[in-house]
Amino acid sequence: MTYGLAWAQKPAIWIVTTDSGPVYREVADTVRGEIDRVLPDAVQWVVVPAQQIDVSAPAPKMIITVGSGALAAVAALPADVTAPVLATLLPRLAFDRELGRATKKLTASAIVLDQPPVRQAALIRAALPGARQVGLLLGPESRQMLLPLRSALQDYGFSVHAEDIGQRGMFAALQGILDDSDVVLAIADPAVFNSETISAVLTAGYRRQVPLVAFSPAYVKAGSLLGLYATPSQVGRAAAEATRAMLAGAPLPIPAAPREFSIDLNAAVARSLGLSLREDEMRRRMGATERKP
Amino acid sequence: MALAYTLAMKTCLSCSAPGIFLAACLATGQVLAAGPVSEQDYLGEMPVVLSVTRLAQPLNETPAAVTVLDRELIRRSGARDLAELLRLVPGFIFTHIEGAVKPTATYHADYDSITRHLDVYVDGRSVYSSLLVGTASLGMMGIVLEDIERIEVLRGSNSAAYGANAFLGVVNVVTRHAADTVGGMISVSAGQGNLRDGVARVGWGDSHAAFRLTAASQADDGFNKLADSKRMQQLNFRGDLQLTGRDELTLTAGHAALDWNSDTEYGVMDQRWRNSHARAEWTRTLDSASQFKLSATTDEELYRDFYPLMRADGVSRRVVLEGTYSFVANPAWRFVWGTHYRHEQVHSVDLFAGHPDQSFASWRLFGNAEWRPHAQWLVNMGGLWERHSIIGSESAPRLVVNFLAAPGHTLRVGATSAYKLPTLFELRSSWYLDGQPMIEARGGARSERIDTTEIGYLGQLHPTLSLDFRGFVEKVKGLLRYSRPCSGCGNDVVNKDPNTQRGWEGQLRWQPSPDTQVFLNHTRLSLVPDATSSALNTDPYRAPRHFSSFVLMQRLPENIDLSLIHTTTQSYFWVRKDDMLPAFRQTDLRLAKSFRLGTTRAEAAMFLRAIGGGHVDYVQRGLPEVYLDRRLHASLRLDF
Repeated sequence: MTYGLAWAQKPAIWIVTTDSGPVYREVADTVRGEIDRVLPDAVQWVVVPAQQIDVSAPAPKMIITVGSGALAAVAALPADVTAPVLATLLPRLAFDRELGRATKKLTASAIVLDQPPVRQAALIRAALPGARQVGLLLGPESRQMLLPLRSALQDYGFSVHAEDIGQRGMFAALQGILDDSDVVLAIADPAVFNSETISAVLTAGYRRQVPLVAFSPAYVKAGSLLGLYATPSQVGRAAAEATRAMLAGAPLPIPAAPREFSIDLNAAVARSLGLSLREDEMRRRMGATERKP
Repeated sequence: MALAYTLAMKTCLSCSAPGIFLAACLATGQVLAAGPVSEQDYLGEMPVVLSVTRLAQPLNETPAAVTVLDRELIRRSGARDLAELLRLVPGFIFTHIEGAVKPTATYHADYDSITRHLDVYVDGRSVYSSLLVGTASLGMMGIVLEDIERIEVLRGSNSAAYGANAFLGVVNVVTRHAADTVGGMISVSAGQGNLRDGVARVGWGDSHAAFRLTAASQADDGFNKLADSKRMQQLNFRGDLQLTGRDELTLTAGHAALDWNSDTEYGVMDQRWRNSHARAEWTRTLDSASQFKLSATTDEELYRDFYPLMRADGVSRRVVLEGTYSFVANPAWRFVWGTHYRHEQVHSVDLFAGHPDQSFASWRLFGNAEWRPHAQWLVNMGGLWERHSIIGSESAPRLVVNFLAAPGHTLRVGATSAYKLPTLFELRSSWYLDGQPMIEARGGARSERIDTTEIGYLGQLHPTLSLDFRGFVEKVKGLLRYSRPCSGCGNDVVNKDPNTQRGWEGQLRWQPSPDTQVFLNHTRLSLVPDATSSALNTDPYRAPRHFSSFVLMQRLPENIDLSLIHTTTQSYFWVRKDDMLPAFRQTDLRLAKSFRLGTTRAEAAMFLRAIGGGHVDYVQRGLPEVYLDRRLHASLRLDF
């Protein structure tokens, strides 16, 4: 009997991944690994892809979702599953959208993929000290980010030229910002930045000597000068930190990007533009000017 | 801005900018469709767009001294034509030969007065005219400055990549990609000397296919004391098409009509020049490390003057086919090779009395290997071989080593050999003045040669201060000169007068703030004749011993822009030693204000040339003095 009671006191944490793809697994494994390292054998883990959630499993103390599909699946679970949810590896807009769709009340927060505007502004200032105007190409999803972006960029001394592709179309909007911007900051929005449009954006920008600062290593390989992003491991470690706090009794943190971040540089593009950039130097400069959000 | 398209990939300099991507496999297997944003936008794969072969070479890796004039500098300089712009490049002298109608720029010394030793390209097409003696001056006038994206000036011989005519240097003009000039533009200028210019441009399309049509007219009455008025009208077309994911096509075509009169030794002459050209260039990207280009160009020219005693009327037609293949074998080796075929024909009853139809064909093979044995060392080995149907074979090898001594500091050492083939005129002409033979070329002319050794430095002395320095020894051999074999004979065209051009030139660029830019160019040049040279042609005063230019560009509040240009040149002569051009200084000022009229951007500017008063710009016995006056003009430009 005591044995059963002791067993019942070990909290269960569900990690629900969108599917069994390697990226989702990496986040799940990192969270597990980090928690097990500092609190060995303290948690009963249930790691499942979204399609295989078993509602008859022991009620979890918290649910961690990896990816927007997993959050959607958890949000659709019956109302008696009331554990707080930590959504990870998804954009802030996807998080808000799934919460909005949920039919029941969810206590939730997120480790999001969107980098804080203040960090983006600090990177641009660190890499391109002479830049004066930042161009923004916004679409149906990213247009909601305009105000915080403009505010953060202006705090760092930039003027902002933003164009919405819904108003003039992609081509005219792109030409518009390239005309007078020193750098373009890409904000994730599949209508604006995708494998079809990336060619026009990068080649037109390169012709005008206007570099692109983007949000993933794939864009840097494509030709973007810089990428500012969080890796799945970094997301996992941030989730583990929040989980550890939760296990100690703290409430969920507010939705935020991981503290850790990665910077990728396309050295060939940098050289071609006459820029000599080093990651450590940029980080140092960012650290020096980083203002607390 | 450090942007010079790879010199080794010569035809890359004709710049249709990178516009292709590879179809790449998406690791997740999902297709990104417009829809709600998800983690796939952050995690998915992207095709490589700016691959290594499409990126321009940074300036510190070019195997030659390169100066780039960008769009902003061109606009703020107030220049009305290309030759005038070149005076802002170290090593270039600028003057007006025989009058305002012939703005002439040359690198180091010219030995003639017609920009004979410089090759000028516009979007991959050489504008060097082989009509008459051969000159780039006329072609340089047929360019609309407002259409230019940038100008790359290669200071020093470049036959190894460009073949004959790239004797002293190459000026490579790249016009704006058609997708970048969608919309409209109108510009008008008016000023003293009956100056009246106008440009109207319309562009349409998008990133898949874009087109542009530009019409321009320039006219003025020239300098006050001379009969040297001109009118230049031109119509230019450019189309840039993305045919498939890996194929691009660039089409250019144009027509230029120049009418002018000039005060010559033979009286006031009315002259006319017409040029029509068309070119197509196809670029195919094979993979992220290789591509090839094929191009075809046709060019026709007509020259006519109306002076009865000595006419030089003629027409010429040229067809050029070129193919280039470039690839990056591995991080240490990059290669370019290519082939070029040209056929030129000239018809002139005046210049080739008795046999007015002349032609030649030539083949070229060129190649360059760029080897990076170590992160700090770059070796460029290349050359060009040409077979001319009349002259035979010529070759131009080049070896240059760049040493990236420290971040921001590069040293360059190189040796190159270049040549200039004689033109049909220099080989075959039979030209009479008033019944007397003036030029009778006996066909013995051979190529002029120039062997150069140079040392260069490009570096960032301070975050706001950079230096571009070139020291050179240029040995010129076999300059083509006129020489009468007997009294009463016409002049033959023969090779003689070897001499050495020695010196250094540099440019300091200072940018203390984003609103202030200062350039200071200085050139020191000495001409050292060979013992066998004829005194006149290689006199040390054939080029100014030193000359400099200073440029200040300052952004002022209220969107006002100021440019100040000051040039100083020591005394020298162009044609005869008794016609020494006195030393002069010239200061020009430009003030402009930009503003908006709704969504239209506008700029109103005024340009004052020679604010300190005019100076004598060109001297030649028998001609009235060419005095460059102080002149004011104003312009208004609208971009929609």
